[in-house]
Amino acid sequence: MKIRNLLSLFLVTILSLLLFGCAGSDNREFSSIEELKDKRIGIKQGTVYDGITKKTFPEGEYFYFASASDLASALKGNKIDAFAIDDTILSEVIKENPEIGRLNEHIASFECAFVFNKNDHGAELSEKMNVMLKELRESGELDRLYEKWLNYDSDTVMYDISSLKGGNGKITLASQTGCPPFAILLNGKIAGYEVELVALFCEKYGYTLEVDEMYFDGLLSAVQSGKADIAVGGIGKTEERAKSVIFSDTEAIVYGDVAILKKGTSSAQGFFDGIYTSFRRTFIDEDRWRMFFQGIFATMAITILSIILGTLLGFVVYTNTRNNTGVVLKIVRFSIWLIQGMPIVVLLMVLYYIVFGKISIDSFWISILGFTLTFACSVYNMLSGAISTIDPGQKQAAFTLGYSDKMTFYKILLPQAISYIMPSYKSEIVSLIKATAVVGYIAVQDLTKIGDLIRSRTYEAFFPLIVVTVLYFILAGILNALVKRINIRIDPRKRTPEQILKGVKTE
Amino acid sequence: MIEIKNLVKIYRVNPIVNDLSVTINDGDIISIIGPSGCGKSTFIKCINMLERPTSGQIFIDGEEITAAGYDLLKVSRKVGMVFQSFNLFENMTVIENVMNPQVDILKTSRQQAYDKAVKLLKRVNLFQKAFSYPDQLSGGQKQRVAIARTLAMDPEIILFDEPVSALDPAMVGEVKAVIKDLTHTGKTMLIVTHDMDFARSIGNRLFYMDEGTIYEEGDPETVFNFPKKEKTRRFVNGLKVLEFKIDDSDYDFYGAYASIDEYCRRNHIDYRKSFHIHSAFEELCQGILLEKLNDYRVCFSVIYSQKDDSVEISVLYGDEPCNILEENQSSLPLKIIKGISSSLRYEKTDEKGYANRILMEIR
Repeated sequence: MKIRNLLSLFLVTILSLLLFGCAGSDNREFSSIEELKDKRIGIKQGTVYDGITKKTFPEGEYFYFASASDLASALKGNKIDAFAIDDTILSEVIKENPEIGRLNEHIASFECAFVFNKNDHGAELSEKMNVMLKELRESGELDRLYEKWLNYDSDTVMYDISSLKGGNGKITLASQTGCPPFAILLNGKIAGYEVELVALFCEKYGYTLEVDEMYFDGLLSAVQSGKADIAVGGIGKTEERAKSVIFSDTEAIVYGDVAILKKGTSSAQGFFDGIYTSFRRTFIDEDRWRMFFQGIFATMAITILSIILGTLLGFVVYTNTRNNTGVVLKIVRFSIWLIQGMPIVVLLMVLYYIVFGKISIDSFWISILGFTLTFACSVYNMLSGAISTIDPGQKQAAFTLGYSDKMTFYKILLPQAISYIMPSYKSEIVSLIKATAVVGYIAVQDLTKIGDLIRSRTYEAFFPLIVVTVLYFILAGILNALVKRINIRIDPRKRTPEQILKGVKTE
Repeated sequence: MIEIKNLVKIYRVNPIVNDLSVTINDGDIISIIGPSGCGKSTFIKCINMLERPTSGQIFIDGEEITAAGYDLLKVSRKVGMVFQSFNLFENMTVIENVMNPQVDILKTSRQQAYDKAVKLLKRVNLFQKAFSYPDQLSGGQKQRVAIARTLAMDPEIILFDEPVSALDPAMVGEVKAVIKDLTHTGKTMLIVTHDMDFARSIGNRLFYMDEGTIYEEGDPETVFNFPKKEKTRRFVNGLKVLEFKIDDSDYDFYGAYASIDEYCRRNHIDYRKSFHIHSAFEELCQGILLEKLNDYRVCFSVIYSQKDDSVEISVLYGDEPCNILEENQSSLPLKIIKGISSSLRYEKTDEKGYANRILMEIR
């Protein structure tokens, strides 16, 4: 325990130095696109800025990031020299990070619109949306809404999604928060200009609304695969995108701006004030600490359910196929090869977008399915490995004493295999809890994703990452302690003579 | 009573047990000896169906256990087995190893099973180890527990598959004593062993197995003292034999030379004797017979007795009687042969395909 404390202290010190001490100490300030042309440029992956950036800075060195907050952290950490992003988002970033500034010229402008599937249903929804947009524009309501979300703060009132009556079915919305003013996280809930418009749309046409949070590069594929009906997040119209999805009429125009680091404007606050502000924004503002609990719950639920279900599945498959040699065994081996051969994040996306692409299942359950499958494979391999190391002589002895195959397995082989398996089983559990960090890719809000979401609001990396790290340590510790208890209970060698001879009088 | 009729067990293509028939009476104590790989273990494992016979029939008390669909549980009730490698259940204590099979299979109450286990463990002198695990015991102790476990199931027949082969010499005695003690219980016992003294003293019958079948059987003293067949004689006297046939003058001389080398090394034959065996082969087969015979067919055997460290060479040749020792008395090869042998004689023989035999004892 002491060593762990020391380690985290060390980690915290290093990170504090990086974040507060020496960030951007020696770089110069850029003032034009020309100066940046061969520098390191950050790109938000899956956005139109990919193309725009490469056209604007053709000789640049490109780095891809998942969100604006990552881009801001990278810029502050001097890992990139500039990045291009929506002016609206950049304003937000600058508000939270005084050391970031912008170039005076726009590098692009484009029209933002809602995205629909390219089928009849999508076309119908997009028609309806255009009708609504026209009405709102004519009444001036559209501009008023845009203005409201451009200047939002924690008191801004968002349409209450849960009050939607429905009647004509459900709309699933794919969004990425962290795209102000279009989609943001406000007081722990999803809000923003486009989200509110979708909510109004649902009210007008009698739908209920469900929001799936995902990474920007997953938005279009979610709509294309039918996982979502509408996608929002300041998605710009491009010809290429129009080939695979339908765009509604334009509801906002945004400009592409270039973010750079300002020279000599390190935070005016003192070191401890800085930490306090960061802490307040990460945990206290908008009660964000609640979100961490949500994340803990999701991570724990996925891990524990996957362990239980995976253990059961692996065990059942093993016990039912252990005497098979032919086709059945080949099928089992093939499935294991297939599942274990894929990176877990790819497996999750295959399940989410392809296998269950057309079926409406909560991504939480899909992630449990994914981890159950991988864990079952490990359990199967551990079991078959452990059983095969047991000397076949014991099986022969059991046979000559009259044990059936099944009794031999449960009374003699399995108890030995379990004590043999336990150490690797424990380490599998710890790696599983860490592996669950990728479920954010399929719109599950686990601990890691919550950390990302909070970073997307605060543009601060320090506290969210440290807290997420520490929480993973604690969760893994709790699971380890649980397994240890089970281990003690099932280890045959830990029994006393009294337990061994239960129900027997010994003179 | 166990009746075995035309038992055959084939592994891949090799017949391990080949057309074996025998009747074993109740109360027989049978020791089974024979060279490695002769099928002794496979044979007794067929008796409790641990190895499925390829063909043939086995009857125990008149019931055919090899019949399709026969309930093998009945076999395991009647026939117990003690293994070379003990095969105790590693997840159980000594007392559980003896108790649990009774509870699981015979459905005895735990109390009865415990009482019986205590009695048996006391009998094999291991009650003080009741709560030890198998890996905490010595080999001899493990084997005694295994015997107690087998006895706890009250079998009528007990098969011992080389019960002392895996033990340190110091522990062989304790296990042999326990087995000897069991011979007074009236149970039928079959004991596969490499221990000649044990095989000779323990039973009322002895099987010598070779070529996949019971090659010779009888009362142990008779088989040991007056074996009827040559192979049996060689085996019970600990004779090691190298035999190869040459039927072409272009045979692989260096290959034959190498196999003599290998044979001498394996049997730890000292350098001088080994040199003489090589010389005898060279002079007899290359020096004399190759010249002499029109039809070059020779059977060359070396027989080494571990007991008295002596080497005998037998050479069969020619289909017409022809004593090479009589002719060319003064030839160099013959002189050499006389020099390295302590006895040398010629005899006519009616062995299949050969008319002459030279027998020589290496000095």
